[in-house]
Amino acid sequence: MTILAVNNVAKRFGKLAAVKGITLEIPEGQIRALIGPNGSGKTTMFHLISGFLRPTSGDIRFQGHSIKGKRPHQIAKRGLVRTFQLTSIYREMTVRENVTMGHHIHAGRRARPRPTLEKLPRFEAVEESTGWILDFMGLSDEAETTARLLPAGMQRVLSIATALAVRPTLLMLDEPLAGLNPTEKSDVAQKIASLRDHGITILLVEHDVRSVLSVCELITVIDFGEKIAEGTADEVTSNPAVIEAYLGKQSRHDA
Amino acid sequence: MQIVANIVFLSTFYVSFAVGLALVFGVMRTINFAHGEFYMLGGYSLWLLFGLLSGTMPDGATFIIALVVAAGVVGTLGILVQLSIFHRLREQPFSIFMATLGLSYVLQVVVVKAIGPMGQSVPAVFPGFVFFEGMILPIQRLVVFGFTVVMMGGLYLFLMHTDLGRAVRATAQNRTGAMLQGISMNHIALTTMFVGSALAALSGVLMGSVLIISPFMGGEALWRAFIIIIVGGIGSLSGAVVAAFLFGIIDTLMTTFGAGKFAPMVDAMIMLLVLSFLPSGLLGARE
Amino acid sequence: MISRSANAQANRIFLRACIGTAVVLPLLVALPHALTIYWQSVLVLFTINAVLLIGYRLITTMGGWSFAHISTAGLGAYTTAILTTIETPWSFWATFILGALIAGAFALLISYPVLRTRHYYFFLSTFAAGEALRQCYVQFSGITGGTYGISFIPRPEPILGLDFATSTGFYYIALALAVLVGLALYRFDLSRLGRTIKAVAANEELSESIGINTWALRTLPFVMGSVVAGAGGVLYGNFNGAINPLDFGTVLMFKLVAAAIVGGVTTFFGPLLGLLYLTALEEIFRDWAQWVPLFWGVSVVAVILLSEGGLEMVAIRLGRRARRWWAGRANRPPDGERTGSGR
Repeated sequence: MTILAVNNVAKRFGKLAAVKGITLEIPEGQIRALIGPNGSGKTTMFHLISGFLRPTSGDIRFQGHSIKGKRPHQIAKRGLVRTFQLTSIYREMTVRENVTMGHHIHAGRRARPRPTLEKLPRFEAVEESTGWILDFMGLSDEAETTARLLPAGMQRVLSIATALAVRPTLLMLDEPLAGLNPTEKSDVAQKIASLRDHGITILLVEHDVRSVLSVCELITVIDFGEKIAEGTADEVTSNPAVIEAYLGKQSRHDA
Repeated sequence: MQIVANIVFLSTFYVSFAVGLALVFGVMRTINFAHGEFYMLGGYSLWLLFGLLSGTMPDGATFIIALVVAAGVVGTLGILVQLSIFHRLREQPFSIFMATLGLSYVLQVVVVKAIGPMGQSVPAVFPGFVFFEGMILPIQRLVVFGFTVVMMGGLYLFLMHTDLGRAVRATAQNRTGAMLQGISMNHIALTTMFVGSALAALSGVLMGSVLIISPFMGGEALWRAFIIIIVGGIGSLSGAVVAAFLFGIIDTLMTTFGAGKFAPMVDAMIMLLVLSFLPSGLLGARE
Repeated sequence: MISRSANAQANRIFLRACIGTAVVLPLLVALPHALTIYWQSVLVLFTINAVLLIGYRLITTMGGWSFAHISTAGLGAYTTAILTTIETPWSFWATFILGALIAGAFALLISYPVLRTRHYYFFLSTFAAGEALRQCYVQFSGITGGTYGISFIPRPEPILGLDFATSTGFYYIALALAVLVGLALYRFDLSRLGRTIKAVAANEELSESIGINTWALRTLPFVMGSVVAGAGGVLYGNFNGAINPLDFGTVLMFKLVAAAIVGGVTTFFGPLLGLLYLTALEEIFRDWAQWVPLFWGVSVVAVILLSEGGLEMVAIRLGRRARRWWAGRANRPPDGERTGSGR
């Protein structure tokens, strides 16, 4: 069953067309990567889906309902939650406080059961849920550390943990592996795979193709605001259009 | 037709006052709250020089000397403010705002203590009127208008056709980019503060020749300048000019038709409307 | 889901604050009887400023430093001044509530445009909006008295046998308002909502993305703080007996912002420390009144340049040292008190 359907979405900034009619369908339970060179429009796509930007045209449906024009917090309440690449933690709060804050929409009232595949355990109290998430994400030892003091890899894990506290059915991760060392990369990749195993659909944006190959089931490649390829890792890496986009960009960078 | 003349006079005043503020804001990304007091000092320069030099030379020459002296003195003051406040508090725009707000009180108090709180005025340097197409045009106003145009022309030439001016514009548009191209931030900041402050002082001399000069004239002009640069688009000089004319038209029309008391409210409402629909102003860059 | 422990902890801290207030309150009630008439009026003005400042700090928790606060307070003052001096005058107590609500309504009206701006844009746009409001006090002279303002504002009519005509009597209104608003907003500050507002200030994008309605949580403190400003403004105008547009100009605004900077806004009591300091400066240099804003300005710049976090951080450090000293005297193991300073 399709959890997210992006239908011919376009975004213009004045004269500049950042996204030119992209269509995406993501089935429930998949890990999907959205890749493309810098400036290809993938971050804009993320903003459009999560409500931080409003599409100029086209439609976005989440679990069958249109979310076009909805505010980001309304979209998050429906179970579509995103992270930001660099700024996805409250730097001056402790790790525990970060994850507790993630429970915002659930705190203060009884949890509403949502029809979902998500198989995370359910809790009566925010404290228990926070404790479980910290445990699950391997952050228990650092629970009382101020977030800005964590190493980069841990901060990335924390941002995912905070997003998890919202109880997403679709989790969108903005370059979750960028800037991490190889050990951290494999650690975060493993966490992402394990979230999928708990029934959470994952859509991630990456710049670097190699780092996502191992985690993703299906990869969508965009360039100049258009979808240029879609397929498994092997299919995509052997696709001449993709190679051209990356190499072409590469040589443009060098120039 | 008289209305058109009044619109032009009021708008050029708004332009001459607001452009310096917009220039400083565009480059430094912070507000010099003492801009109004710099303008006030310009007015007092004219008054003082008139007191000192009257009788020794023609009034027109005194007027020119006042322009040069005010621009030099207040421009230097701007450099001092840059070195003592802006540079030391960089990256903290709010602190700069507070520090320059404090400075504006200091300047007001100094003038009140040295000269007195009462308003002063100087005799018309260029007395008389011109009657043209049914309009009554005070020559003094025409001279002020002429000097403002020259001043803006000079600023335009400086920004468009000198290396330093181009560097200032590059910095206003893109700080990081300008730094990458090897433009020295300190140098640009000093230039900007000198030019911005001198513009305030020139505006003060020009307006001092037609208005009452008082220690509080700066504060009264400042909030409207804020509205002008917000509506024009913060940091955009052409936006400030457009907005100055917009408010020049609105305020003149409202005064002419007896609704002058609604002018501050209407101006503020226009600002709030612009912010509602175009948060970056009419011609401002998206941040 | 529910959150038990955080709420319980907030209640504990709040209870401690209530007990502390109850202990100090008799002193505050007795205080005016030990003062001369001059110092009584200083005390009343200090208390009213404290109310304005408590409201102001609430606004700063959402991350924006408004410059329209005092003009907004002016709405409260003018409401009372106008309605209690017309031919069929209103009761002070009715205008008190109305004045606070009008100030809140004004804040709500301008909130949409001004809250679209951030940082310096925010204080620029609030400054312009506030000055325009103040210009309205000047321009609509038919009802506001123009630059001369309104005088002969009657003091509140007595209730329950309490007379408010004297400074001491009036002080009790101001004190009651300060204590009630102070405790209410202190509890709000500790609440989950209060903490969420600060989270929005710390990272708006992240907050929005985890389902927090950031727009609402920026508007709420702005409007609530303005209601408090309106209430403080009512008292301010009424105590002075006469108001004019200059009363609500940049000098008082500057004093509040300076108090917030000098004291710091991380803690609830920080701005009040700052206000105490600025008021002390003002009284020490009473004979050089025109230079006082200069001393304030210098203090602000000094705090910005020299110390991080203002007087509240100094107080916290001193308090910690005193507690350690106390713990040492009681022969406790010395590492028992270390936890507060770590991390």
